[in-house]
Amino acid sequence: MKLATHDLTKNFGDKCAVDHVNLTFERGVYGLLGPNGAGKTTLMKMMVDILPPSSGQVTLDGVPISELGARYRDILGYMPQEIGYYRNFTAKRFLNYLAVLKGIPSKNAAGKIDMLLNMVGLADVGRKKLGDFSGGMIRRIGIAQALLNDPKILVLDEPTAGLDPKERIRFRNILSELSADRIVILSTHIVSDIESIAEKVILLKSGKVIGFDTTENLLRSVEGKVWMAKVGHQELKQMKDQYVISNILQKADGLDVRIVSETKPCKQAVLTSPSLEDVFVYHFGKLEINNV
Amino acid sequence: MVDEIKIIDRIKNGDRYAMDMLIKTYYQSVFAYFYCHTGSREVSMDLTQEVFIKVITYIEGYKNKGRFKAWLFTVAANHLRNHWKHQRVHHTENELKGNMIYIDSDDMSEKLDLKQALLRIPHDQREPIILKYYYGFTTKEISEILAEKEPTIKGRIRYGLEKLKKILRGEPDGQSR
Amino acid sequence: MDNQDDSFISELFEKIEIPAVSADEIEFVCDTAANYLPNTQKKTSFWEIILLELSTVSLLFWAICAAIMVFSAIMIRYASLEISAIAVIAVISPIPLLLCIIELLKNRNPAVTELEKVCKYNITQLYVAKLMIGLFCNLVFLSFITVFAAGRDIDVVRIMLTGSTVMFLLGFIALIVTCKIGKSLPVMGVLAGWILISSVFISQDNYLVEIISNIQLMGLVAFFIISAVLFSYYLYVFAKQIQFLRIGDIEV
Repeated sequence: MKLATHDLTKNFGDKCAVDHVNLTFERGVYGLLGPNGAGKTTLMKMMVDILPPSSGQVTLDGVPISELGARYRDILGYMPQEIGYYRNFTAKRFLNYLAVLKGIPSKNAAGKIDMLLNMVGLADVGRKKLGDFSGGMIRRIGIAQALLNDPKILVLDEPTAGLDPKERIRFRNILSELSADRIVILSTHIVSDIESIAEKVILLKSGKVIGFDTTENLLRSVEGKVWMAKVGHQELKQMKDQYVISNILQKADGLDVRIVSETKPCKQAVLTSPSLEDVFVYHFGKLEINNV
Repeated sequence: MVDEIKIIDRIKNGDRYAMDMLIKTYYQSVFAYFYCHTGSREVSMDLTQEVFIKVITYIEGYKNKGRFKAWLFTVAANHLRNHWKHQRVHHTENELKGNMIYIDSDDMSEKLDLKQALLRIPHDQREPIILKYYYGFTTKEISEILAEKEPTIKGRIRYGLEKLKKILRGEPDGQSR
Repeated sequence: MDNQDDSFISELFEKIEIPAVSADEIEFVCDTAANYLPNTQKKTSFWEIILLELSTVSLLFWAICAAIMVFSAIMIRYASLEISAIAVIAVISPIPLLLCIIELLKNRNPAVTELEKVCKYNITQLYVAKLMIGLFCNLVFLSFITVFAAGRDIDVVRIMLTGSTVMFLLGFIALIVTCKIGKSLPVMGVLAGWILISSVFISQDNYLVEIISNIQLMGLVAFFIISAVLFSYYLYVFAKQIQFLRIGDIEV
């Protein structure tokens, strides 16, 4: 199957949220990477046919998804950024409700729901009301519902937001199990989420695709531009104004700073092998991680 | 005909083998349709595949009414129309270029073959001509396929043929569109 | 065109060379198309969706409908003859349908609809199912009251026609509001507005009631058909747009 966007564009008033995006997806895991407000959610909503594009179209094997209609939704799994739910429904009832809408016969649905609840680690709370669930638990329900119909195309919008590190690892394992024979597209602004699982990465900036390549090729693009240096607090201040800092580690004898720069930033700097995070800061400037 | 209805019923029940039979029966004829319109093997193959995806997608809604072939070509004609719409700029450029070559050509007397000639007449005239003379659809069926009135279709065929003949004889077509 | 031309062109067409497509290439098309074959394992009937939606309607809705039904039945039956049964029915007839629309908007948030929209049987069918439930409820409600009112020597057909005309008309307005705004409050406004205005008119001015009571039966039928057509038409418009509407009260 080949999912493709053709000059996909969405304008909100004067603002262009997604700008002539041309992408092609064949089986595999794709990471959609970009800072907040880059248009990731808007792009994904158009790809699952719940937001009409201002111009351009999304096609599956050359046929516009709007024309495929129910047949497209039949093979589609979508996890939105904000998971909606009925507060007074239990987890099982909610999943069952969506299973009926997805056309899964009830005799198959029960087993599938148990399996999925087990998979996301919520088997013991299946009969609890969703209103009592924590944010992380709701997100795991969101993942489970997206998998109900065994989708061939899985679109996940910020699937790891609000998950703790343990849950993130679980999620990564689920995804790597799933990825065979499917198109999986996940968006994130957290680089480490996709570093190990995405085969291809799309860099989205202000609604435009500024990079679409395999992880290795993206890493190669910043090779020779990533430096490590030990600096004091005073030096760091200066450096922050001049260079793009990708990471800072507090050490007993000073600060280990990771710098992305075309030229050697200071005399004690040494070249180091790049990570996807370096690619991210190279293209987007500021790093959006909390541990700085 | 009865067999065809049976095959379609089996496809409605998700029978892969029946689907393969249907596609293999009609592939060449749908492909030829697009080839007459576009003159490109690659484009025609893509369009043909897309039409069969649509046919399989919509098959549950197909009532065994009228000839299946007419329905198939309704889907194909709609798909072609969408294809032109999304490639409008590209298409008119090509058409212009075609005419330019024709006008600038030194050897005005050279007779063109039908395939090339077809690509030079307007799309809405080319369409019914191909359906009538290549596929043998009646004008009534063509009017259903293209969702136009029968007299309109007849008129287009007449004008299209006149233009075709002029082009085939090597006369300028008068740019009368 | 004469036949000579026809055969000339036909002959030329026979000479057109169409490039060959290999069996492998056709096989590939079959493989791709196979992904789109109907999946007979996955089918939900419209009735299943109706049942599902019935189970999600809140108890409060049923309770309010029942309460109003009993209240109006008693009122028609035992109230003084000055209050015309037809007037009462005209006032209350659109209540269940409008409540159903309000309930649909009230308990829903746009985030849930997003999940429902990407399902195979998506909210187009879901909402139509829900509105059908509301419509059905309303008809049951009307017939119940009519049966009670029948004791008071009034034309049953006339009551049913007036009641359903008002129901369709108000349903039509409520659907427009839903399409344009997508929140329950304006629909509540429509309902409250109707009850207020109609009851003021009817209680103060028996003249109006008389007019309604004296409309020819054919006229009533015509009004009924017009309103039903308007409602059905807008239900269709609503179903067409629903995939891209933002509907629901609860904001995230």
